[in-house]
Parts: sequence; structure tokens; C-alpha cells
Amino acid sequence: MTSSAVIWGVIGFLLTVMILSYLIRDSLFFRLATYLLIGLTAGYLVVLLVNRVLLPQLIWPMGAASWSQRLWLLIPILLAGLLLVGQIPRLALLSKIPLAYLAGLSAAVAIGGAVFGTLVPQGQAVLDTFDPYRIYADPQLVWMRILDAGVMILGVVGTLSYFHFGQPLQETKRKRAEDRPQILQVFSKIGEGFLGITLGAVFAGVFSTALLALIDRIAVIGGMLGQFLGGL
Amino acid sequence: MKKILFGAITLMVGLVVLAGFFFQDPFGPALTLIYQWGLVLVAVGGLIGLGTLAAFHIRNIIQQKKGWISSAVLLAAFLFSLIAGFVLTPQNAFYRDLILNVQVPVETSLLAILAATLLYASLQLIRTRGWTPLSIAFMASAVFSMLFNLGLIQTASGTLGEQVLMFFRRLPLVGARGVLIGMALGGLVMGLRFLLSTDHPGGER
Amino acid sequence: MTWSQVAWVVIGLAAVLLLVLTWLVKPRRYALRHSAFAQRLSQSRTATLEQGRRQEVVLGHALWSRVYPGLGLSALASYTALLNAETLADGRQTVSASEGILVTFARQIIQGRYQAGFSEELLQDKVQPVVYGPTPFSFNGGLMADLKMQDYGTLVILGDFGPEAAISVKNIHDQRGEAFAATGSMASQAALFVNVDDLLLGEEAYLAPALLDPSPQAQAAALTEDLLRVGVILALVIGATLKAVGVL
Repeated sequence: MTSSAVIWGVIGFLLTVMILSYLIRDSLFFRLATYLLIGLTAGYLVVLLVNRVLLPQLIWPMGAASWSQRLWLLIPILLAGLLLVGQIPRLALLSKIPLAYLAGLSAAVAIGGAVFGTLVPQGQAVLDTFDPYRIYADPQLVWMRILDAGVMILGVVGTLSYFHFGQPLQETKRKRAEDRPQILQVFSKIGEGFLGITLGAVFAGVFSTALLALIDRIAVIGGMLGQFLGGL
Repeated sequence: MKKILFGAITLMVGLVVLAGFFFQDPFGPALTLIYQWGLVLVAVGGLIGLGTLAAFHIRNIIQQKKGWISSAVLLAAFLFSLIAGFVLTPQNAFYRDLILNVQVPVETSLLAILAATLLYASLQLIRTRGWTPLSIAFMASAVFSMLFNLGLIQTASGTLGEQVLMFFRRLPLVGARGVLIGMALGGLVMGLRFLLSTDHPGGER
Repeated sequence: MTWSQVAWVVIGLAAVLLLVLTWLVKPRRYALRHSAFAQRLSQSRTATLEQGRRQEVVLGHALWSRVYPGLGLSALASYTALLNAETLADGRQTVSASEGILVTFARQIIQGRYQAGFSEELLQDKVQPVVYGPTPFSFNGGLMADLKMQDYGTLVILGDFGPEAAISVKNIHDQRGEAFAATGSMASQAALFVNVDDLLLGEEAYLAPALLDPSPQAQAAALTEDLLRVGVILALVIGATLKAVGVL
């Protein structure tokens, strides 16, 4: 093992112990380790933002660009400048221009992402379970594919019904303030079950990952202590 | 007047980006340019945010607030990382090792703490949430998924048991599709609210 | 009709519905279902103010989320609703995010509100925007430390988050404070399900602005979403039937 590997190993061991000390009680050691991480990553991020985004997008192209291209480059520089200057409370109005620009971009990205990236592909996937070619592809599994398709449409309709925000439109049909319109209320009960099943499975995945991290850290501590005690 | 101006900027940028999704040939270059400018603004916003972080801890130190020693450590690490990054460049082996050898143990250990937190909280699930269809389905699904992930539930290949097991394995996907479709509708309407200025970026009403 | 054209029809329909319901029809009789979330959050914030404790509002990790689009915007819209006159006058609220641009938006909202109705020289404390850390875990570490060092009574977690959000919740519970969450990712919702009582699940995360500030615009947005959802349900059922009989 090289000396640098030993040093990094010891640092990793100490940081692990400092963070895991939180399981006993919140201490100065926990804070020091997290603040060390925050400080280092913050500095690293500044370097990355400057070296990978701002210099290549704004400054370096200036040198090789024609005059008309330079005029185009002035727009993001101006927007960035307005955003920076707008941090002074008296000049806050100026930063509203770049923020309005970003709001428009974010809104369009959200709309495009939601419809093209999620709604259409997910809708397609639901409908594909009803594809006769898929259902009859394996004669022995026809009943299973039909069951799959039935459960899929029931589950998706149920889950969507669960999220219905409004009460029944007619005031006479509003018995409790939590109720949805009648038909959606029935499906929402089914949806509640499917939602629980999904969240439970995701929880199991998250918990397993976290548990693996815990086992990994215990192994690191055990390994380091073993090396230390073995060397005595 | 100001509101109309900012609303017009938002709408114009949004419409050009959406047009770029639809008519990729004529609007493609404009879309790339708008994205790049947006990235520049997000990067500048990132720098402003990190300035806020530094200012917060400088204030803690000056006012000697509780935990000011930790703030001093943070600022020292920040300055060291910043100077080392600009002098050595992010590709430098030492600099990369420095960041990774702090980041990996600390973040993995925080994830390990999450395991303990989740275990403790999940044991109290029924006490806090009660016996509802949601909590029962959640618990049953979590236990089943864990047992399956650990390889404790197995069936012989090509049997009816395997088909049934695979059916249960696919069930979480059904709810996930419903949730994702629903969230896409939420994202669509939220995007339209900002685009059409029924919500404003500066929070005006 | 291609899928791309279907997508444009959905976007167009949603835009027309939102515009009509916001500016023309204004559906006053449309009532949202009762939500314990909004009521309990309001009670918690009032208690926190009265006890002289702080509120923490977290806006998440990203303005642009690839898997859950619009969550950053939803967090900002919700935050606008959380900045009422009492909170601004009290000033003991921290708003944080790990992405700088979210904090920049938040600062803009705060400054706008103060300039609209307060003499800032008379205020002892002012609402503070903060970045605790630039990555999800470093942010969470910083948040955990701050929750321990200062006396917080209410923690509101909004926007795009991962499962690590669940760790900081323990800290607010240790302080006898209350946590509320309207986060987007399924991993965060699954993790928070076990330790946050007041949690908005799935699509409800986008409803938070309407629950916190039931303005006519927010009501119109909720109705638009409801109508679209019913439309999608019908489209799926009809589409599945057509697909099964081989027409589609």
C-alpha cells in the first residue's frame, strides 16, 4: 500500500467515525466533518462553474468570434451582469429580467419534459400491455398477460383517481369534505392500495441502499482497526 | 407596466423553447442558444448561492454565534479548495483525490445514518399513521420487496409459482405509472402557470 | 395521428383550459377537498411564531428536474404562499436550497414583499435565504447542523429532493418541532412516508401552492388539472379498449 493510500484511508476512517458519532449524539465532530465536506465541495463547485461553464460559454469564444458573434455573446453577459447587480437590494429590479427569462425557460422545459418525457411514454406503456401481439405471443402465458393488462389499467386509473383534488361538483353530493366525485372515490380506494405498494417497494430499495452503505462503513472501520491492531 | 414586461419576457422565451420542440429545424439553433444562456444564468445563480453560503458563515464567525468554530473550518476548507482548484485545475490527481476522499466517506456515512433513521421510523409506522389501506399496502410491499431482494423468496424456473411471483414483482410498476402520469399533469399545469404569468417569477400577485 | 401530435393537443388543451378558467369562467363553486396538511401547517406556523421560534423552508435541490418536471417552480410558488405578513414582520424564517438559482429566486420574492409593505429599518430580523451546501448530502449535513443549533419549530420541505431528506426530519422532531413535506421524487416520498405525518404524495406535491394560498388562480389551476386527469383516464380506458381489439 502506498503512503498516500494510507493517508487517505486514515482520513476516510476518521471522517466515517466522526459522522457515525451522530448515531450516539449530535456532536462537534459530526459538524466538523459535514462542514469540511461543504467547504470543499463549495470550492470545487466554484472552480467547475467558472472553468466548465462561464469561461467556455462567455469569455473564450470572445477571442475567436466575429463582431456579430460578439454581439450575440453580449446578451448572456448582460443577463448575467443584471443577475449579479440585482443582488444589491436597491437594484433588485434589474435581476427580474434574467429571472423572468429563466422562468420562461424553466416553464417550457417543465411543459416539454412533462408531456414528451413522461405523459406520452407512460401512457404508451400502459396501452402497450393491451397489445394483442404481446398478449398472444406465448400461448401458455395468455391469462397472465390479460391479468397484467387488467391490473395495469385498474391500478393506473385508481392511482390517478386518488389524486383528484376537487369535491363533487354538485353541492348536494358533498357529504364529507374529503370526498371525491362518486365514481372517482370508488377507484381512489383501489389507487390508494397501489400507491402504498409502489411506495413500499421504493422504500425497500432506498432502505437496502442505505443499509449497504452502513455495512460498507462498518467494514471500513473494522478493516482499519484490524490493520492498526495487527501492526501493534 | 413592469409586470407586463417581465411577463412578456417569460412568455416569449417559453414560446420559442416550445416552438423549438415542435419545429426542430427552424428553431433548433435558437433553442440551443436559449439553453446555453439559461445554463450561464444557472451557473451565475450557483455562484451567488455559494456567495450566500460564505456570507452566512462569515456572519457566524463575526457574531461568534453558536458553532462558529465549525463555520471557520468550513470557510478554511472552502478557500483551500477554491485556491487549489484554480491553481492545480480540477483534473489534477491530488485535487481529485482530496475531494473524493472526503466526499465519499462523508456521504456514504450520511447514507448509513439514513438506514438507522429509516429503520427506527419504520418500526413506528403503524403508531404514527394507523391502519389505513395506504400504510398496510406500504408495509406489506416493503417487507415483500426486502425478502425478495434478499433472495428469501424463490421459485423454480418455468413454474406457475414463478409467474405468480413475477406478477407480484410487477405490481409496484402499476402505481408508479399512475404517479408519474399524475406528476406529469402537475408539471404541465405548473409550467403553464408560470408561462402564462398566473404565477410570477418574483412572487408578485 | 402521431404521439407527438397527441402531446401538442394535450399542451394546447391544458393552456386553453387554464386561460379560460383563470380569466373568463372563474369557477367560484369549485371546492377543493379538505386537506389536513394546509390546516396543520398553518397551526404549526402560528405556534412557532407565538413561541418565538424559527421556521425553516427548504426549496429542494434543483430548479429543473428531469424526471419530475416543474417541481422547482412548484416549490417557488408554494414559498410565495408561505411568506405572509406575520412571517415577514417576525423575520425568523430561513429559506434554503442547495441550488443557488433557487435561492436567488427566493431572495427576489422576499425583497419584493418587504419593499411592497414594510419599513425595513424597523425590523430586527429579516427572512434569510441560505445555501447550506452545494450537493444533496452536504446540504443535508448543513441543514441538520443548523436545525440543532437554532430553535426551529416548523420545517417545510418542498421541491425536488432525494431520500436523504428523511435524516433532517429527525432533527426537527428531536427539537419538538413539526415537519411538513411536499417533495417530488418517489424515493423521497417513500422515505418521508415513515417519518413525516403531514406529507403530500405524488401529484399532490404540485397542489401545495393552491392549498397554502387558495387564490382564484390556484383554484383554476387545480380545476384544470382535475379536468385533464379525467381526460387522461378516459383516453387511457378508450385507448386500451381500441388497442385490445386491434384498432389502435
